[in-house]
Parts: sequence; C-alpha cells; structure tokens
Amino acid sequence: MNSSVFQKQGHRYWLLGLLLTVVWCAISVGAAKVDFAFPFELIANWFGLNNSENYLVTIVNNIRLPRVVLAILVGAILAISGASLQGLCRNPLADPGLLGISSGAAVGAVTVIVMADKLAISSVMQPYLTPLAAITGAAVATFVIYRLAQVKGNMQIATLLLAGVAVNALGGALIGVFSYIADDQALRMITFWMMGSLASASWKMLAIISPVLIVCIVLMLRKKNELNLLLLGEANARYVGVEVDKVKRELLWLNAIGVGVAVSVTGAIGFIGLVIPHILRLGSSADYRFLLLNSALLGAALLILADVIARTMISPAELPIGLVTAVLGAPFFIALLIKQKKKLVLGI
Amino acid sequence: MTIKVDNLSIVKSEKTLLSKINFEIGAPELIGIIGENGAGKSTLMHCLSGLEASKQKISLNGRTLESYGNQELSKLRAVLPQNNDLIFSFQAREVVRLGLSLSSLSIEQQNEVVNDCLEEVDADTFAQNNYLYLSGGEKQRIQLARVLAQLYSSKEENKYLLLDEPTSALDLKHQVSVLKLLKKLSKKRIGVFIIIHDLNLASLFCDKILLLKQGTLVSFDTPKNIFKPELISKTFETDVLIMQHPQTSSPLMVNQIN
Repeated sequence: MNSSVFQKQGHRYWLLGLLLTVVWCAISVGAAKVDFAFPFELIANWFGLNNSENYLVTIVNNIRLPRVVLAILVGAILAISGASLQGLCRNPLADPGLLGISSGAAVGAVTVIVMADKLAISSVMQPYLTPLAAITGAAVATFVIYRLAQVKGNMQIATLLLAGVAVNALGGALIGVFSYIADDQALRMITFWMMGSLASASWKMLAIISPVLIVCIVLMLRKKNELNLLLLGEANARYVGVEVDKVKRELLWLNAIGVGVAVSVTGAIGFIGLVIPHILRLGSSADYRFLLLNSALLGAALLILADVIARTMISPAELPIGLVTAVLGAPFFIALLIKQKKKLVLGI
Repeated sequence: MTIKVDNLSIVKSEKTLLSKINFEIGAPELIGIIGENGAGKSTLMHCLSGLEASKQKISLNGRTLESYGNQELSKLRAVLPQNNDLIFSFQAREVVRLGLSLSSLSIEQQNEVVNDCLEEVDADTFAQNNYLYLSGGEKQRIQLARVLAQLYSSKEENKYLLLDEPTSALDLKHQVSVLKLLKKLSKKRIGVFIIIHDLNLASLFCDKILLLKQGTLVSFDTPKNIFKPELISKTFETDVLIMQHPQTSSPLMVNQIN
C-alpha cells in the first residue's frame, strides 16, 4: 500500500545519479580536451595516488571544479527557494524573481558597477562590494515586501505577491536608470551580469559563500513538514500546530540571504526556481518531504548542464548562463502550462 | 473534558460578530451549533479553537485557552474548517497523513493511524487516488480523516473536535455514517462540536444544541427543547412544522409551505 512512498524516495537516488553523471560530464567537457576516464585520474590525484604533473589536473582542479561546485550550490538554492516560496505563498508561480528578491539583489549589484567610478571605489574593492551590495539589495527588497504584507501582525500572502510585483517594477526602473547613465564598460558589465555567469567561480570565493548557502539549504530542508501543512492553508497549518508567522518569517529571510548570496556571485539566473519544482511535481511528488531535496538535486544538475552548454557552445567564448536556462526553461514551462491546462493538475 | 465560555464577545471592523456568549460543557458530548447564515457559528468555532484573540474568555479543563501553546493545543483539539483546498497534486492518503506531520509517530505507526482513519470515513477505496480529482464529498471525508488522524496521534485525554459543516457535501449514507462516527467518538470521551445546517440530522444525533442568532446565544439545550416550532420559526424567520421520528421520537422538521 505504501509502495508509492518508497517509489518517491527512490526518485532521489535517480536524481543523485543524474547529478553525479552531469558532474562527470562537466569535468570531462571543455576547451581543454580530456577523456571521459579523466575524473578517475583526478580522484587518484586528490588522494595522492597519482602525482603526475598533468596541467589538465591543474585546469580542472582550479577552473572547472569550482564552477561545478558553484553550480551545485546555486542551482540547489534557487530551486529550493522556488519550491519553498511556492508552498509559502500557496501560489505555483512564486519564485525569488516574482517576489522581487532577485530584483533587489540586481539593483544592489548594478549600483556598485555603475557608481564605482563616481564614488571612487577602487578596482580591488569592487569584486567584494558587488556581492555585498547584492545581498543588501535582496535583504532590503525582502524587508520591504515583508513590511508591506504585514497586516495587523499577520502576513497577507496576496499582499506579499503584489508587493513583490511592485518591488520588481521599481527594481526594473532603477536598473533602467543605471543602464542609462552607465558608461560603455559598465553597461557591458550590467548586461552580462543581468544574464548570469558562473565564470567568477574560485575556491577562495566558494570558501566564503559555501557555508552560508549550505546553512540556508539545510535550514530550508528542515521546514518540509511545515511547508506541507501550509499547503492546506494558514488556518489549517495553525490548527495542526505550526507556528505559521515564525515559519513564514524564517523562510523569507532564508530565501533573501540564500538568493542574495547566489545572485551576487552568478548574476540573475532565471527559471530554475520556477520550473524545477513543477517538473518534480509532475514527475514525482508535490509532497515537500520529497520535493525540497529533489528540487535541490535537480536544480544543481540542471545548472551544471546549462553551464556546460554555456561554456562549450561557442567555445572559447561563453554564453551567459541565464540565456541558456531561459532557452531551456521557457519552452519547457510553456509545454507544462499546456499540459496543465488539459489536466488541471495545479488547480489554478 | 470541560469547556467554559464566559461572556465572550467579538467585534471586528465595528461589527459585532458574537455578543456575550455564556455556556458550559461538563462532559464530552456531541454538540450541534446551528443558526442562520452569518449568525456567528464559524466565529464561535474559531474562538473555541483557541486561536482567536478572545481566548481568555474560554477555559478548557479549568485553564484559559490563552495559557495553552499552539503545539499543546494541537494535541488537544483538531479543527476542520469549511475550506480545505489544496493547490498541488497529493495522493488522498497522504492528505490524511498531513494530520500527523508534526507528530512523533514512526512511519509504521503513522500508516496504522492513517489506515484506521480512512476506514472510519469509508475512504479506503479511493485512498490511492489524486486528491484534486476527488468529488466534493470524497474530499470532505478525506479531510475529516485528516483531523481524526491528528487527534488519534495524541495520547492526551480531554480531547475535542471542531467541525465546520463536515456533512455539507455528503450523500445520505455518508451523512449518517459520519454522524454515527462522531457520536461514537463522544462516547469515547472526545468532545465534538459540529456546525450543521441539516436540523434533522442535528436532532437525530446531537446531545445538545447551541442555537445562535445575530451573534447571540438564543438557547443551549437538548434537541427536544430546542426544536420547538416557535423557537425555530423565530430564529430562522421561516415557518416550520415539527413531527416525530417514527423510530426515535426525536423532533423532525419540514418547511411549512403557504
């Protein structure tokens, strides 16, 4: 009778298998040619079993591997954020983009990019200031939508979504203004940054952001039961014992910090947060006991795949990864909507 | 289980939803809450759930509801509101399991509780189906099983159930079977409050009736004393005829057609 539960748990092993396969491909594919058995050599090298001075090992260790790790973390946080926001807002279209969190991060980063010259920010400081500004922007956006949505001590989800739309519009306008006043070089950076890239990945940067993203992911995973109950509506969740306002507050801040950090290092990457949870709802289960972890695994796998496409398609140049996820995600989402229209799976 | 409601009034946006409600329940019983639309039935139920701001006016087993934490309350009472929509696909039995989400039961124990509850509401035949595709009545039975599961998973004594129109979408057979089940629960020392519009079902099964009109408590008494032509006609502003049930001699009501 409960085979379906085990089946759904089984999906996570398939997704883990997919993730490992994609990681293997990402290590093996790129401008510097290595064969598919190369990861064995790499692993042997890590454990000191093979001390050959192969320059390819250096390339993979220092360039490809940090990108893979960054893709795993960012893909996981974006997908899990989308899944948790959809549950929190009881709205299938919610994601960090819709609520204005990504937009806030973008405004923060663009401000630093454009104002660097005017504020006499040294080029040494800029790489540190851009992420900090993005995190601040995400936090400010979250704070604004959170305060707007608070009505008599309770969070109104409908107002939260509307506030997100308003913050998005404001963010878009501010970015428009900055693009207008930006010089050519800054404009190029803004354009590239708005479409996302994993090219900034380095072990040094990962050492700073990984702990934050991992803590956010783990804390969000722990909210699986509360998110399941929130699907029944806030009143029902309260009746079953969920401290609804506390859970909502925690999830919103985890989203702000996680997405802010992710967007600050990779730029805006769309569709992962929106599409991944829906793929899993259709293919596996809408039950948050499975959905959150599965979203993290599939989000990570898809972002690695998108990055492989982004850096190999027009090699040695690179496509912005946001373009790849949009090109992969948009048609898929349209197909999903058509299917939903026929089956009314999501009931909206 | 004892519940005491002491001078309970609720005013929202300058509108009086409940006014000076007083009643006391000394033992677990099946209590029907009846009244016209907008009489304050759901508001009263929300207050009894302990989550309304009025909780200091209501005491459970000698303690005000305010003194209970949300999680403590969730082990003592379960609530079935009128609207229980889901927006994503869930297997029906997994919806029942949601009632156990915060319990400490093992998966095996959870399965046992879920199976028992599904059986009690006669839902085992469609338990594997997608909840979104169930009929209104089937959904209502699944949701009832969910709140039963929540209550069964708690080892506390003095538990009670609050059900807002749990039979509104049910067919004749399941209306009776659900009310029989609720009656059985009240005999097992679980207090049950049920908002119900079918006065004949209330008359047949409820031990006591709370009759509300425009936010005030008109009467709290046995069905025999509540279902009198004058009182019902006045409260619902429509003329009724009262007869006797041929088997139980409890009052039965039909509309008077002029």
